[in-house]
Amino acid sequence: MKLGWKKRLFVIIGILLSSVVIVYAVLILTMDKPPLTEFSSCQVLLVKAKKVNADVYSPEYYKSAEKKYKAALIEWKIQNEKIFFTRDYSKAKELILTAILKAQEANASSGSNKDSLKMKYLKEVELLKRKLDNYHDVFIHLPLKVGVRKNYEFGKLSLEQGLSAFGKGDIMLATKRLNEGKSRIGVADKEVNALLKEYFNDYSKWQNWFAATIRLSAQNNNYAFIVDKIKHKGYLYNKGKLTKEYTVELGRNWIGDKLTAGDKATPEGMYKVIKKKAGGDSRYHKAMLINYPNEEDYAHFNIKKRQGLISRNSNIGGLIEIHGDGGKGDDWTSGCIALTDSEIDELFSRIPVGTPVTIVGSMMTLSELLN
Amino acid sequence: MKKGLLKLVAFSFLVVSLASCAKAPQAEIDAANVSIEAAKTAGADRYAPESFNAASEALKTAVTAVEEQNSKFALFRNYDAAKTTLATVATLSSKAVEETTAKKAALKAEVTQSVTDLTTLIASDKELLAKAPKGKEGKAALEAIGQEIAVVETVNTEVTAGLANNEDVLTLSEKIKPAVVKAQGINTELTDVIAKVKGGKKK
Repeated sequence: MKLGWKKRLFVIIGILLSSVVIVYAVLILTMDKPPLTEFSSCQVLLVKAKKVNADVYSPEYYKSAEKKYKAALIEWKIQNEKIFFTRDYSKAKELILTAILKAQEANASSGSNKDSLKMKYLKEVELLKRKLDNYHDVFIHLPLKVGVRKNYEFGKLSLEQGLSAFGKGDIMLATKRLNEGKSRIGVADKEVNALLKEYFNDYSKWQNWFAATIRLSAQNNNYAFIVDKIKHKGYLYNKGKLTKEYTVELGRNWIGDKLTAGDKATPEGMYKVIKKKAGGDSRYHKAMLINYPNEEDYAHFNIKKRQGLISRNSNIGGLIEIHGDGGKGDDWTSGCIALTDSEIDELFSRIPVGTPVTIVGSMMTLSELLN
Repeated sequence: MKKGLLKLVAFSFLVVSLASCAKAPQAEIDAANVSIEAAKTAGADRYAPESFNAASEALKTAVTAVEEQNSKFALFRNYDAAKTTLATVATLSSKAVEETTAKKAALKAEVTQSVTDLTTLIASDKELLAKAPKGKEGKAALEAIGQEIAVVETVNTEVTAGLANNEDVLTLSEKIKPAVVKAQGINTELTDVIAKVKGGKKK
């Protein structure tokens, strides 16, 4: 039985169409599949990472994850634009898998990074607070320029702004403010260090003096009075042991040794009480005169004079006392050491003529003082 | 008759096939991107992070959904789910912008009030400082307080200028709040010192 040409044509077309459909079906079934699950996993991980602030605390991993995710998406898009049986998603898969790894690392490290940042922040806050306490307790007496003091105050406020941000959980802002504070305080510290570094060249001398004075007090079984100019404190020792601490006020130019009469500086050295004045003998309630200038002061004065550092006509001065009328909260004397009237009453009643009085720049080293 | 029927079937098949080839919602994606960018420019990532992040995540989901459909054989593509998600992107972005505007306005009012409060506090601090007794730590301590007040005053001036120049209100708020606390602290400290001295004198 022979088919007509029309029927034969239908059969041929039918076979051809079926073949095309079969080929298409095979191609569709065997074509490369896009990494759908990986993309949705990565999305979930990125959302999670953002929630734990990994973009802030693990920015490298987070940014890298985001970058790889975007690159994977672009690659997916490129492949999708190709005819379906030529698509190859292997590069997109590789990229999205890397993105997943980075997002996992971002998630894992965010918490620990936050904790270590917190620790670092709190540590640095402690250091800065110590510096500010130093400023308040010690440097407040230094003759510093207004700009230097302002830098300390700005630093303090920045620290407080940082602590307020830290309280709200914003460690990055807190760190930013802390660094601003550190920078301000650093500038002020530089000036303070420059001022003190030169002054502390005499530290070994001071150290010997106060050690010798305490020894004397122990050996003599008696009192000794040591003045720490930087701290503005007077320490009363009895039998080598500290018995009382007083706040003292000094000469206006107390930083540095006394050189001449009228320089408003408080001398530094080992002295002793040579006269006690009470009643009408003192303008400042009660007073104890010390033996400034001593031999060392004279020697020092003469060297400076020879070096031309002080005028030939200048006088070494004298009449340095420990007296009352203090408590003004300022360095106001002409070089004497002022205590409040009640304190001078107490000290006056305790220490006899001949009591060692040692005046030093500081009983602490500069680094102890600064740290 | 037979021929006509065959042509009709072939034509219908072609129409159905063409109609089945759904198009990717590129215009919607572009619009969503624009809305996200607009929200970011408005500062929504800082002022309304929840809504902003939700909008960004929705966009990501929508783009992935579009590509998922693009990966399919043309006849089987369906962008309906992606379109629905893209619509939520626009809604969420608008919400983020609205929240940002509201938060900015509220913060601005708050900062303005803080400036007023701080100005009053500074004046009071200065007045108290003038009355404060120069005790044991007197002059140096009072000078230090004076400088603290000066620093607080500088912050107040900076924030006032910042408000006038429409600077970022969140930063201004972070700046002024600790300054107000500081000025209050100074006020309390000086008030206490003055009260103590007055109390002492009465005795």
